[in-house]
Amino acid sequence: MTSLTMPPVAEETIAAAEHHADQIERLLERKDVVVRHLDERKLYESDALNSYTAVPMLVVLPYTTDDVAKIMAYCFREKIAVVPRGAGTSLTGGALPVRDGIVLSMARMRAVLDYDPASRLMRVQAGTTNLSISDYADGDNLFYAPDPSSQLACTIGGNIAMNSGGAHSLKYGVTTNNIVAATFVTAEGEVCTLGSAAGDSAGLDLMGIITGSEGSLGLVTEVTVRLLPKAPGARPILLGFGDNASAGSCVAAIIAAGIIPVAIEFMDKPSLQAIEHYAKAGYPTDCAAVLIVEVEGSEAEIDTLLEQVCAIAQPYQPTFQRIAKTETERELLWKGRKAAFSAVGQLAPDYFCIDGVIPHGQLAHVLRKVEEISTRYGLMVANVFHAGDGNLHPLILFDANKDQEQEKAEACGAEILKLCVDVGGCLSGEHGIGVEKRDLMPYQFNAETLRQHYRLRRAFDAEERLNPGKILPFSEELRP
Amino acid sequence: MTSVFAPLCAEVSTAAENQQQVRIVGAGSHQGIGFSSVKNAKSIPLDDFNAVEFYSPAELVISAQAGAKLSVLSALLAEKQQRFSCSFRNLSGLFGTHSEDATLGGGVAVNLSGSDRVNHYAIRDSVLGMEVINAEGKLITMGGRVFKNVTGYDLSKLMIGSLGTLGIIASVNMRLRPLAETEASLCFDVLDAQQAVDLMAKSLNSSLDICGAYAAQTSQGYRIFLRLEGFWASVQERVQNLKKLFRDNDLHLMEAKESSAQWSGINNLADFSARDSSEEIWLFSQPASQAAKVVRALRVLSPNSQINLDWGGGQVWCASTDNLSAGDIRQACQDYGATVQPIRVAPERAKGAFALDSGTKKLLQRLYQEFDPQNIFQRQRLYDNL
Ligand SMILES: Cc1cc2nc3c(=O)[nH]c(=O)nc-3n(C[C@H](O)[C@H](O)[C@H](O)COP(=O)(O)OP(=O)(O)OC[C@H]3O[C@@H](n4cnc5c(N)ncnc54)[C@H](O)[C@@H]3O)c2cc1C
Repeated sequence: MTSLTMPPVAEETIAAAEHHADQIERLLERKDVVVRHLDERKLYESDALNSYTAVPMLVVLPYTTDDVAKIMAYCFREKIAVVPRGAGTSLTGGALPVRDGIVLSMARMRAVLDYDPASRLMRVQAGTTNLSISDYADGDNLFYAPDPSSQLACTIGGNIAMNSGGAHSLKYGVTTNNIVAATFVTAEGEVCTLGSAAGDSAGLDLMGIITGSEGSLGLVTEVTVRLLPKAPGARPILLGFGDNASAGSCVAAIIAAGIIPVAIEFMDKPSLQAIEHYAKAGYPTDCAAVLIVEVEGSEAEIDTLLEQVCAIAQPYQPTFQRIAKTETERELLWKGRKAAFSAVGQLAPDYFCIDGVIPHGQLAHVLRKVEEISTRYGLMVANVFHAGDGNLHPLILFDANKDQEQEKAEACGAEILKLCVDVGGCLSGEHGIGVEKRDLMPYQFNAETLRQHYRLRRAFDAEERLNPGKILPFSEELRP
Repeated sequence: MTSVFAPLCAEVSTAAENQQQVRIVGAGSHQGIGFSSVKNAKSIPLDDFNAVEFYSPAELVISAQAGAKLSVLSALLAEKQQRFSCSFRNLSGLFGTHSEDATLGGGVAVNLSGSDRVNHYAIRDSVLGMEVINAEGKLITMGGRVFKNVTGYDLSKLMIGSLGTLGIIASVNMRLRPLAETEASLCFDVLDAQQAVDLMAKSLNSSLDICGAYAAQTSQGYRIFLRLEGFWASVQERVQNLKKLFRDNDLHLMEAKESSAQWSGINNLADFSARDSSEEIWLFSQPASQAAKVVRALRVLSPNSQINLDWGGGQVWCASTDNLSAGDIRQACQDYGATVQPIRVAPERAKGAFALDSGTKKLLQRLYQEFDPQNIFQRQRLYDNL
C-alpha cells in the first residue's frame, strides 16, 4: 500500500469507541444503527480505490434526516470525524475512512419520498441508487439522465458528492445539471433546505456548491431530482478506425459540425479485445479504436442524424461501421461499454482508472502522448472514455505484487493528469479528487485559488472533521 | 505575468484598505435587481473589460471578459451558427435601460435564465468557469474551459446569482451549442391557470422535446405557447405530433420568424414592460404542478394583477399595483413549495423575501465572513436579512 499523509489520529477517541456507540444508540433510540464488530467494520475499510484502507472506529447506519442530524450534532460536540458513504464505489478514495472517525453510511436511506410526474420531479433519500430512480419513473416514460456505469450500485448522494456523469452526459449534463434541491445536514447537525423545486431560485447557489464537494461540507440526506421524458428512440452506430488519432479527430469533427449526439464513447484496441473476450458484444477487435455514437429522436430524425455522422466520419477512413437496428442490438452494444472496466480488470491483477478532462480538440494529440507515457513506464494502458465530453479514462494496468509497480502506475497516472491540465483540461471530470489526486491540486490551481477553496471549506466545517484529508492538499502554507 | 485585470485588483485592494464598499457596474442595465446599494460606495465600472479572450467553435467554448455585451457576443457566435447553451433574460424593458447594453458578467451575476431553461441549460449549467477578483484584490480561477470538471469545489456556482456580493466576476467561460436550424410554436387558449399547467405538463412530458412552455394571462383565461426547435424535417414532424396531442384545441401555428419573435418577447418580459411602470414585479419558483395554486393565492391578494407562467409553471411572474409585501406573499404561497424573488419592487415591500432556515442563514453568514470579512462587496444587496 502506498503511504498517504492523513491528519493525525486521535487514539483517545478510538479508545472511547464503545462509549460513543452507546451514546449514538441512545440518541437514536435504536439498537441496530451502529456497527461495532471489527470484522463488520472491515467491510468499510476502503471504497473502489482499494489501494488505500483504514478501518473506521464505528459505522453508523441512520434511517432518517433526523437521525443524521442527531449523529452529526453528537460528533460535532465530541470532535469525532465523519466520513459519509453511499455505496462505496468511489474510485478516488472519497469514502476512505479515518481510524478515529465514524463512517456514516446512507445504505438504509433508500425511500422515495415524493414523486410528482407532472412536474417531472422526484424526491428521494440520498441512499437511493441511481438506477432505481429511473426504474421508479419508468411507467411514466420519464428517467433520471446521469448514468454512471456504476448506476446499479452507486447512490444519488454519492453522485452529488462526486458530481457524477455518464455516457449520456454530453447531451443531458452531469449530476449538477439534473438536481434541483436537497436536504442537507451541516457539520453541526443543523438541517437546511437548499435549492428549489423549480431549478433556480434567488440567492447564492448553495445547492451548486455542495455538488461535487465530496462529502466534505455536510451530509446530503434527501434530494429532489429532475426527470426527463424519454426520447422516442435512440440508436447507436459503431465506427471503427485504423488508429486512435483518426477516432479522436472524428469526435472533434462531429461536434464542430454542430451535431450533439447523446453520447460519443471511445474504446481503444486493448479495451476492445478485453471487452469482447469478457462480454461478447460483437465489437470489431481488429480495429485500433472504435466510437459508439448514439443519437436520439424519431425514426426519421435518427436516420438523418446517423447519415450525417457517417458522412462526417468518412475523411477519417472508418474501417468498420455498424448501426444497431433493434433495441436488442442497441443493448448489446452498450452492454460491452458498460462492462468495460470489469473486462479490462481481467487483463491484469490491478488497475487504476484515471479520470482527466481535455478539450476534445486535443483528443488525438493527448492519446498519442498517453501512449508515449505508458510505453516509457513499461505499463499497459487501455482507453475507454466519454469522448464527447473530452473525459478520458486511461486504465493503467499493473500488478501490485510486483516490486515498485504500483508506485510506477501512480506516477504514470499523475503524468497523464498533468498532461490533461497542460492542454487546457482538468484533473477530474467525474470521479472527484478524493485522496488520489489531492496532492496534484496545486498543479491545477495557484496558491490564491487554493486559499479560496480552503475558505469555502472552513465556512462549512471550520474544524475540518468532515471527510478529513480529502480534496485539498495537506499544506499549512496554502491555508489562508 | 501581470493580468489585464491588475487595475481592477488594485482598486479592490485599495477599497479594502480604506474599508470602503464598492459597487460593481456592468452596463447598469439591471442595477434595479436586488436591494439597494449604499450611497457612498465606490463605483467600479467594467465597460473597458470587454474583450473576447478565447473562442473555439469546435470545442463549443467562448471565454470573454465580464464587460462584453451579450448582444455583441451573440452576434459573434451567430456567425458560426452557434449560441450560448443557455439564454439570458434581458429585463431592460422593465428597468427603462438599454437592452443592447447588458453584459455577460451582469447576466451571470443576476442569473435569470430564459424560457428554454425548461429543457435546455440554465445559466448555472452553461458557465464552465470564470476569473474572479476576491475581497483581497486577488485574481482567482474557478472551474475551467471543459464540459466536465470536479476538480475541487465548484466555486463559480457561488458567483452565479451573487449580484457581485462575493467578488468581481472578471471573465467567464461559457458553454455553447449549435443554433437550431429552425423553430416553430403552437399557441392556443385555455380557460384557466390549472388547465394551462396541465396541458403544458402534457406537452413537456411527451417525447417531443418542447423547449418553451409559457402561458400568458388573457381576458378570457390563458394563452399557451409551446416551442419546438431543431433541424427542419424534425420540427415539421414534431409539429404534426404536437397538433395531434392537442387536436381538441383551436391551434395557431407560428412559423420560424413569428415564433422566434414571440419567444424573444417572452424571454424579455415584453408583456410586462409594456404595462404600467408603477406595477411591482415578483417572481415565484415552485414545482410546476403547484403553479395554479400559487396563481390562485396571488389572485386573492391582488385580484387585478397580471400573472404569467413560464417553464411550464415552474416560474410564475406577477405584476401588481396592490403594493404586496414579501411577508404576505410568502405566507400565501408557502404551502406550495414556492420561493419568492422581488424583481421590481420597492425596498420596503421587498424586505424579507428570502425565507432562510437557521442552518442556511448560518452557512451564508460564515461564507460571507470567510470571503469578504469587511463586506466591501455589499452583501445586503442580495440578502437584507443576514
Ligand atoms: C465500475 C465502476 C464504474 C464507475 N463508473 C462511473 C461513471 O461512469 N461515471 C462516474 O461519474 N463515476 C463512475 N464511477 C465512480 C463512482 O461510482 C461514483 O463516484 C459514484 O457517484 C459514487 O457513489 P457512491 O454511492 O458509491 O458513493 P461513495 O463511493 O460511497 O462515496 C463517494 C463520495 O461521496 C461522499 N458521500 C456519499 N454519500 C454522501 C451523502 N449522502 N452526503 C454527502 N457526501 C456523501 C463520500 O464521502 C465520498 O466522498 C464508477 C465506479 C466504479 C467502481
